[in-house]
This record gives sequence, structure tokens and C-alpha cells, in this order.
Amino acid sequence: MRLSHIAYSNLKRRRAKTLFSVVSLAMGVAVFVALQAISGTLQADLAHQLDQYGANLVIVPKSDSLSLTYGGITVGQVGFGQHQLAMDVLDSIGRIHDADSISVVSPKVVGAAPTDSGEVLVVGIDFAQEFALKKWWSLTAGRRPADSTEVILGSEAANKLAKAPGDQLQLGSNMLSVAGILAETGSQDDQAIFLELSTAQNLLNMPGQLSLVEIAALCTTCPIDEIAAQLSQVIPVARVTPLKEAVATREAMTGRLATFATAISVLVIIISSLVVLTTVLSSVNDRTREIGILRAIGFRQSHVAQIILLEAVVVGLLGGVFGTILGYAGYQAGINALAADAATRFSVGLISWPVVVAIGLSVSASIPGVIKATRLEPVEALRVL
Amino acid sequence: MSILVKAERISKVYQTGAVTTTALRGINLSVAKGEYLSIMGPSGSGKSTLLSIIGGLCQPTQGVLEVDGFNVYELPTEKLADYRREYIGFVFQQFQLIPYLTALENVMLPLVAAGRTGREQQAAAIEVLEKVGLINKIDRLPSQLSGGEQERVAIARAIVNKPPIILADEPTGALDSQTTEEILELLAQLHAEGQTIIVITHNPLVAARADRVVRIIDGMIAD
Repeated sequence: MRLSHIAYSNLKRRRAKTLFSVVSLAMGVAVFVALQAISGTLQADLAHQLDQYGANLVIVPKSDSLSLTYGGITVGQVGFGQHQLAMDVLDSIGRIHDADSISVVSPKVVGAAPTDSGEVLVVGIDFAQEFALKKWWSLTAGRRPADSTEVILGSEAANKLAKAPGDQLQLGSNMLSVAGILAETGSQDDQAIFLELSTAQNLLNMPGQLSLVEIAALCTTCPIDEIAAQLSQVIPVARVTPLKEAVATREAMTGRLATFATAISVLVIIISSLVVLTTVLSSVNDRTREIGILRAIGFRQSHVAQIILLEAVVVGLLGGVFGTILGYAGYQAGINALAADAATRFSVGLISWPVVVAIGLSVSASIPGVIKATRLEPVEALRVL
Repeated sequence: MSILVKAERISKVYQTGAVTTTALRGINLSVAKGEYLSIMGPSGSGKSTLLSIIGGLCQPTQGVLEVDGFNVYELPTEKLADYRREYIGFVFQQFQLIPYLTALENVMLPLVAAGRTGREQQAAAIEVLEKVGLINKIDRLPSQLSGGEQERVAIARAIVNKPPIILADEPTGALDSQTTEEILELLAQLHAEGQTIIVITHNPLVAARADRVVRIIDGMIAD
């Protein structure tokens, strides 16, 4: 017979109390596992969506002067010492170490072109890339351009030029066709005319040149600053600016979610631990005489401590295993209810750590009971001699 | 015969709040190896306190207890537990068996604490259970045994580790006369084999089986 046999026999005899401890611990672990797993999945899901929502890196030519534009208001001549980017920067972007983390590369050329109604802002783009970058773009009328002779108009530009899909538009010496009208975005896009990149380069007399390149990088897989540094290295003539606001927003949102999940989980775990603690203390009270007998016949304090801790390990193990199973069931239900686009990834680590934590909690919550039991004077515990 | 237990000027004072109770007042007592000693006295006389002090369960307020030549209460806490296991076999009035362990497992308990192997524990426990006449009931729980049988299990547990001293507190207090006689026969048999036995009792018939009877009144030895 070993000390573990005494511990196991006692747990079997006190089935109700053992079950109560196991269930309370299992509930705590289940809530912890479910919330942490849901939070982790939602964070990844949210980060993934935010990563795809607009550019988070902008590459512009290096300039010798400061910008004189603020909030859309230009107060002076901009462009002293201004350079343009060459088309080969697109190849350079594809060569960086973290090129796999880049989801969209949208090159642009920007300039002014004459129309019948005066000069307008012209933006040359790759339509497929631009629509991938600006998922909020929608057309109120018409369709996407089918070839290089078609354009789309910002909502305000369409109003001022009084153009609708199918109308012809004279831009410099080019006669182009209006394919669609963008819904209002509240940005400078509302005032611009968007046409195919090479058409715009010819129109603006900037063949093979780019004004800027907007990039959407998946920064869940690598830090945005790291990608910016790699781009600066391969394109020394350019200034690469990470749009930290988007990253900070993402981090703030996912951070709040994680904090909330952790706070609730910790609260539940504390409550579960307190239940285990009171149950163990109550069990020690019930077993005062029994502990006295063991001490009287020669059990050391360390033997009594081992028996109670072994019981705690068994309770923790059972609570951890059942709690983990319940937690993952809750996680699946939660993810289905939230309709999150996330794949569950089970691993030995994911399943084993809640069990280890549960055993740790059970053992920790048993410490006051152990201290009480080992401090019992055998003669007082027996109340016989 | 050599002296196994030597109590010198043993006093015990209990303090409960403002109330002070003196249980023992300067007890001097020697017990020889192989002696069968009875301690008699009325309730509250201090005889149970003396037994618990000899058993290493209760530190005296004053005085020295020497067993086998060493001062028992100079031992640290864990060593005191070892002393109880190696030197003392307790037989309690209410048997004090662990209710969820079988007769065999209850008898094996002191050997578990001694770190014996499972095989050694089982062999020794079966040997003493056979000696007390319970070989056919080793798998029964205490609740499935009669009072006399539980007392036999308690005696088996007390002797399984072959301790030099058996301390028995009213060993027949909860038994009928026939069972009392059987238990006294068992103790007499152990004594005949050279076991040192100290018994506390109210019963003059139980006390009469001892080599020597000591009376305690008001915390002092009367004779």
C-alpha cells in the first residue's frame, strides 16, 4: 500500500465532495479555455480582416522639401526637388524577405489633366489591385472598367462634370468612356477620375513613372516596421511610411478583447479555486480525527501533506480533463454562434496546458488545508487520550 | 530487567483562556523492559495525559521522559513521529480505525509510514492478523466487523511494526465481558512473548492481569 492508495480511497469515500471540487474546477477551466480560445480566434480573425482593410504602408519618392498640404488644403507649391518612382520598384517590392506577407500592391500616378470644365485630379491605378485594397469602394452606377479606354469617376467629380456611365469624357487629347461612378467615400477619391495606370502615365507625360505605391501587408505574421525597413533597403530612393494608426487601432481592439477575456477567465478561475480551497479545508475539518490517528501511529507531517496534495492532484487532473473537453465544446459553440471565420487548431500543447494549470490551481488551493492538517496536534486531533 | 521508560518530575498544565488546569504534578515512573503495567485512577486524574506523554503525543510542561535512554521531547517534530512509529503501538478505546480502509490496510498503515515495500507490508500484516484470529476477515471494512474484531485489528496494527511498547487506553472499555476476556488473553500472550505493555483502565479485573498497578489521583501517583 502507498500513500496514493490512502488518498484515492478517501476521494472515493467522499464522492459528493470530490465531485463538487472536480465540477467547480472543471467549470472554471472550461470557461477559461473557451474564453481564451474564442478570444484568440477572434483576435486572429479581426487582425486578418483589419490587415486586409486598406493600405498600411505607403511608398513615395524622397523629397527635399516639406509637405505644404494639410487636410486637403495646399498652401504653396509642393514639389521642389520632387522625384518620381520608376516602375521597377514593383519588382523590388516582390524581392523583400517578408514578401509573402504583402497582400496588395497598388501603384499610382497622380496629376492634373484638362477637361472641358477645367483641370481635374487624375489618378492612374491598377483597377484590380485598387479594388482589392479599397474593399469599401462600391459603384453607384455602371461597372468596373473593362479596358484602358474606360474610367470611373468619384461621386463629386461625376456631379461637377455631369457625367454618367456610358458618357464620353475628353481628358487632354484622350477621349475616354465613363464605365462607372463610385459611391461617396468622404475622401479625396470623391473628386478624382480613375483611369488605367499606363493611360494616365501617357496622359500626364510620366511614362514608366509612379507617384506612390500603396501596400497592404498582413502584419499578423510580421511587424509592419520590419516590412517598412526591408522596403527602404531595397528602394533607397523612396520614403516608406508605415501607417501606424491602422496598426495601433488593430492592436487596441484586439488588446481590449484579450484583456476582457483574461479578466473574466481570471475571475472564474479565482472563484473555482476558492471553492476547492473551502472544500479542502472542510475536508480537513471532517478528517481531524483521522489525521490524528495517522499522526499517532507514526505518520510524519510530510506524509499527511503528501496525502492531501495527492488528492488535490487527482481532483485537478479530473477537473482539468473534463474542463478542457467542456471548454473546447463551448469554444466550438461560441465560434459557430459568432460566425467567426476561424479554423480550430488542436494540439497536444493546447489540450495539455489547461490540465497542468488545473492541477496547479488545485494543489495551490489545497495549501491552506495542508498547513492546517500538518499543524494539527495528534493528541488534540484524537480528543481521546 | 533494564528500564525502558523513565519519567522524571513530569508535570502538565493546560491553559484554556483564563482557566488553568493541572493534569499532572511531578510524576516519577519507571517501566522495565517486558513489564506489564496498569495505570488506574478516576476520571480526570491525569492517567490519559500520562499515557499520551509516554506515547510522544503531548509535550509535558515540566520534566523529562526518557525511553530507551534518550530524551523523547528533545526530538524535532518529524523525529517525534518516527519515535511513535518505531517505539509505540497504540491501542485506543474507540479502536480508531480508518473507516474506508480494510482490516488488512488498517494494519499495514504503520508500515506505509515506515516505507516498507508492499510485499513486506502485506506479509507482516497477514502474520499479525492471523495471530489475533482475523485471517478470514482481512478484506472487511471496520463497519463490517464487531467491536471485539475491531479491537483485534487495532491490536494487530499496534504490534505490526514490532514496537518495544504497547500503550492501551481502556482497551476493553467498549467490549462485553466475553470479548474483554479474549482481548486480555491476547495482551497476556503478547506479554508472555516479552512485550512491554502499559494499560490504562478503570476495571480492576483488567488491572489485575498486570505485573504492577499504579494509581493516579489528582495528577500524582498515590502509592
